Amino acid sequence: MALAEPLLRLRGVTKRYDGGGLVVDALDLTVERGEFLTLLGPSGSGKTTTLMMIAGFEQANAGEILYEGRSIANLPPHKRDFGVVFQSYALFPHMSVAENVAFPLTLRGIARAEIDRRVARALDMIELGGLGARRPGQLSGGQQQRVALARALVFEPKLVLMDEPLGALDKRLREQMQLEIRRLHRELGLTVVYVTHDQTEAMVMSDRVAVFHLGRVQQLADPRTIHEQPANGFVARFIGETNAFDGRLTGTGDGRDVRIDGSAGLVLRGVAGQSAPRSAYVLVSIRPERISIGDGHGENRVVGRVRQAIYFGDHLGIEVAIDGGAMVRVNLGVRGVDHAPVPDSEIVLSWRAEHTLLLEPVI
Amino acid sequence: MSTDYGLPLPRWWMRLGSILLVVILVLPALVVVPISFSSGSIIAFPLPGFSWHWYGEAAASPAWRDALLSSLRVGAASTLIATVIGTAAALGIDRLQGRTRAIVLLATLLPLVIPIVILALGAYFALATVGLSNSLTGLVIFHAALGLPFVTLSVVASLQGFDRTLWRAAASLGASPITAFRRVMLPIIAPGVAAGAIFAFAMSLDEVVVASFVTAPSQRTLPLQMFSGIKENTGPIVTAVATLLLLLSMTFLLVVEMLRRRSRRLATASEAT
Repeated sequence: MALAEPLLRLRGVTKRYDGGGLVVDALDLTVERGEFLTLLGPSGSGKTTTLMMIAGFEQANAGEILYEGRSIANLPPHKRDFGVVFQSYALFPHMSVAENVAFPLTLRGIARAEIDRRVARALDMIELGGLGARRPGQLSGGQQQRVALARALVFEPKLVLMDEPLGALDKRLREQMQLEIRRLHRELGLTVVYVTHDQTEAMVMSDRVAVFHLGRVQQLADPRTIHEQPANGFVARFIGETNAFDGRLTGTGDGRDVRIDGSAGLVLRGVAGQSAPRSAYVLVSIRPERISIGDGHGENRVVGRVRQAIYFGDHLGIEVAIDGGAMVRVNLGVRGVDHAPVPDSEIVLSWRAEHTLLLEPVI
Repeated sequence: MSTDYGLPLPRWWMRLGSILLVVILVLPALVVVPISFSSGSIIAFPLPGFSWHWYGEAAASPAWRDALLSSLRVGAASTLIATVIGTAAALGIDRLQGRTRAIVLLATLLPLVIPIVILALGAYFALATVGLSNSLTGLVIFHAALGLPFVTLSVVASLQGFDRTLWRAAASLGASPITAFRRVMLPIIAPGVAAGAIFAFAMSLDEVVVASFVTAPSQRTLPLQMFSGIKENTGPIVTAVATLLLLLSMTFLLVVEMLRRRSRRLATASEAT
């Protein structure tokens, strides 16, 4: 097999529900060896269905899924050798923790002593070394998910699929587990396809993120590109915070002028996002953290009135009502905390043209 | 945990009703218990005195011993068949949905709905056609059919509490469908399977109509032997056996209840997350 072939390739994969609704629409996607790819999207965007098709639990209506260049359409789930971690942990309640982790090994005809050794190592890896004899029901949610993780990794699968594995955990534990999964990914050289609706999680963990919406990949790129150069209005709004306005292109050339609809002749200068908008109507996206207070921080300048300043601990957010009534959120970062603008005072905001993205309007 | 359904009746009314119900349902069955300890030789009150005599008599009698053996053999064989087929049927029904599921579930109940005499008559002719009349084998077949609904319904119910993700998890870890069933699904639904099997066995142990149609006079099962014991007026020996059977039934009920609790515990353990 040619080395250039990715580990997994989805080509034109389409999934329709019985009623006829399209869940996944002619999806093309590749998973490279050793990468951490996250499928990110709101519920119903087709990300979990895609994962389940890779796992073999759902059948595609059209298209093909190639593993190392060969179609796995006729390979049942139990012969795929992919580790799967589920949101509900899916630990076997009638088996002890150690038995759960040993389960995939016993199916592979491995000698008892070797199984014991590998189970012990796996439990140490997730720092649950002493709890092998416990039942899953006696563990906390976080511990259960770590056991599920160990069970899915202990047989050294060729590919690890995770379906919102941290969805049931509270915030602190989730953040801790994110780092732990990342560490395992790096140390064990895993190839991971990870499903989540949490964009922070996707940002923190992934090498690449595929943003799903309406059964299609809206953008596939590394987290930074996704955040700073969203391909369209959906991605801009879904990832991070953004100030989004509907606008109309008035200028030409690389740096373009946009007239903002519904405002008293406000004109901004911006640049086209990843794909140039085809229509004269565009979505203008400005990240709150790219806007500065005062003149001289870029080609764009607006005057407004501070509505409120919100203290977030690590940054200060302000809401500014600009001329024409639109609301702009500004993230002043940690330095803003010490110099909070007074509510109801007049304020000048400025930012550079390159941070005013002109995007295809939201689909 | 108790839930007040807000019935529009005073509490003491409901208590009275419950007590009345228990009296009507259970007491007539319990009448045999004191008589079985009678030292007299007729089934009547008042008892002339206390004795274990009739228990000894029952144990010593070859006719009763043979009847017990026949019953246990038929019960065990028919329960085994009903359990295997009923569990398989439940697995199939579990995959169905909507109207199809409702119709198939109803169909599995048919053996319980058809009047037993009609079933017995049909059994008689059917077994005669294939040369199995006057045989315990024939009885096993029809007791298995009668036990089937108990197993199917019980297993269908426990499958509803089975988390399908466990099946997918087992498959992803390399378990073929048969292995996943044997090592993951079966241990979890086992209480339901066992409860169904116990009901099927109790049914077979109790069944008298089909038994009287299809067995030879020399192959009496326990209920048949009791019938003839009453007809031939062999005295309180029948009540002694009846008391033992009552005890057995109560044991079955206790075991089923224990299984039910165990399965609920397993179900909550897999959900407690």
